[in-house]
Amino acid sequence: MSGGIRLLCALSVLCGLALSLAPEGGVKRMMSLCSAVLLMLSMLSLIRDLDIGAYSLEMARYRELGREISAEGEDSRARLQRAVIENECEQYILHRAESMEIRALEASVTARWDSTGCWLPISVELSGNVSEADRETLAEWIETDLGIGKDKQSWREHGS
Amino acid sequence: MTLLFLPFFLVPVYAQDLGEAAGVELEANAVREALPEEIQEVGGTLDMSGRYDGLGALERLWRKLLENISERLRADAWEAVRLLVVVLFCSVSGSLIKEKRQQEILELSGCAVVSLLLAGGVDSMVKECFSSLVELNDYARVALPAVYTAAAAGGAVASASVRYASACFALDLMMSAAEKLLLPVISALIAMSVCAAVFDNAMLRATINGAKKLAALMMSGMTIALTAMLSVTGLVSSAADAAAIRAAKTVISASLPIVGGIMANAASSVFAAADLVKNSAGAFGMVAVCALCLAPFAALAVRRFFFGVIAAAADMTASGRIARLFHDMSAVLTLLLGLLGSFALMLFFSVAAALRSVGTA
Repeated sequence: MSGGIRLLCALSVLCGLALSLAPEGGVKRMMSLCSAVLLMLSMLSLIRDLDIGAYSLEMARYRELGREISAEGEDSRARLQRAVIENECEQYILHRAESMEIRALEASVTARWDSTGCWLPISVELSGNVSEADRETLAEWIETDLGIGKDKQSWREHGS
Repeated sequence: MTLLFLPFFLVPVYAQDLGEAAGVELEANAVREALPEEIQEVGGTLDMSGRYDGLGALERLWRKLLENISERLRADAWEAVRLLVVVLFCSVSGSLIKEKRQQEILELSGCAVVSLLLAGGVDSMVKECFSSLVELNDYARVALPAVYTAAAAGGAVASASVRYASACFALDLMMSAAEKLLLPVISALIAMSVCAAVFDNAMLRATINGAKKLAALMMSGMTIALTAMLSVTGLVSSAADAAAIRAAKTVISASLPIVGGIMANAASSVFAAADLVKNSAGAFGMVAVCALCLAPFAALAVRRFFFGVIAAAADMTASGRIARLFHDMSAVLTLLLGLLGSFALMLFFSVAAALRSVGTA
């Protein structure tokens, strides 16, 4: 394309120069006609080299770029949702514990992607100075409300 | 009953915290970090909690524009004075000389001196315009993925994909057209204008006028066509995205009561946080595009103003060759302004298209 434009530019200058030097009359008219034809041919040569076949390849590349962006967005959303769900479940457990007057309890919930298409809490690690009876009550509530079975609930000694 | 509704009264984690976390997860800060420091200052702080200070940014943009214009006026004034002196000398001398041949020689000499004085300056304007286009293009490669990823995370999965593909196609097409066709045509126009000033020929003049019209038509045609494409693209997929989001929330809420409530809240919160990130990053990106264009716009506009003034003074010369040369150079600068403006507008619309993606509020 750049070569074609340089050719057009050079031809314009040469034709202009030639017409300036040409004597008035038939010669000038003939040169004017030839110059016009030459310039038109050089303009048409600019579009001769367009590659139409590459167009569909490029469009496929752009569609792939779009898909990558969407996939990245969905992955980011999934990670954020997991973090929020784990955090909310932890807050729920802590509020439950507060209603039982259990203080200084720490909870860490782990969620996993389920076949139903959402993040489900599957396990929880608890730590705190809690009596066995309270632990049992809390375990029942966690199992009933959050669906985390007692076998998936673990207690860590506070401070370890 | 209290237990069933308890999740809805939980203290939320989020608002600002989730917005910040979403901003980090979606790498939205790249929209600011990809900019030079002085442009970052114009854009201000990128706040992911939805409190971006748009009015403050507009104020800073305006101040920066005025600063750039006064800087360019001071830088280009001396060159403008030199050109004006040459033009006035030719005008005054031409009016004192009676013989036509001597007048022509005087005008030819004037054109040669003006061309020597102009050549380097206008050529550097073309290079500056190209480097501004490259800077905008590089910024687009960082800002658009960040904004569109946030749009996809906010639920606009299908429309973000389609719109991003269209935006990339539009910008690549414009950049390619600018690099391979428009800038070479503009450079050729400069050369032909200088030749036409010296040889004063109808064929050359017709080619120059044709090339100007072709360049202007191409720029405006491409801008209109690609803007229309960006506006229409993704309309249908936006409706599909909205329906998919509503369906997902219903399924989650109905199947598991307490955990379902937590998950529905989490889904809404994440959608809302991603929307905040998208809107904040998008608004910042639009301001950044304007800020990146300020310096080159000021440079081109000030030069164009000076050339217009000198062309008016040159209209007093006998045959008007020098005036035509300045009018042609003004037209070249107008085309460069148009080219930069078209690309910036396309980038602006590309960011705006992401902001129009379906929200979940």
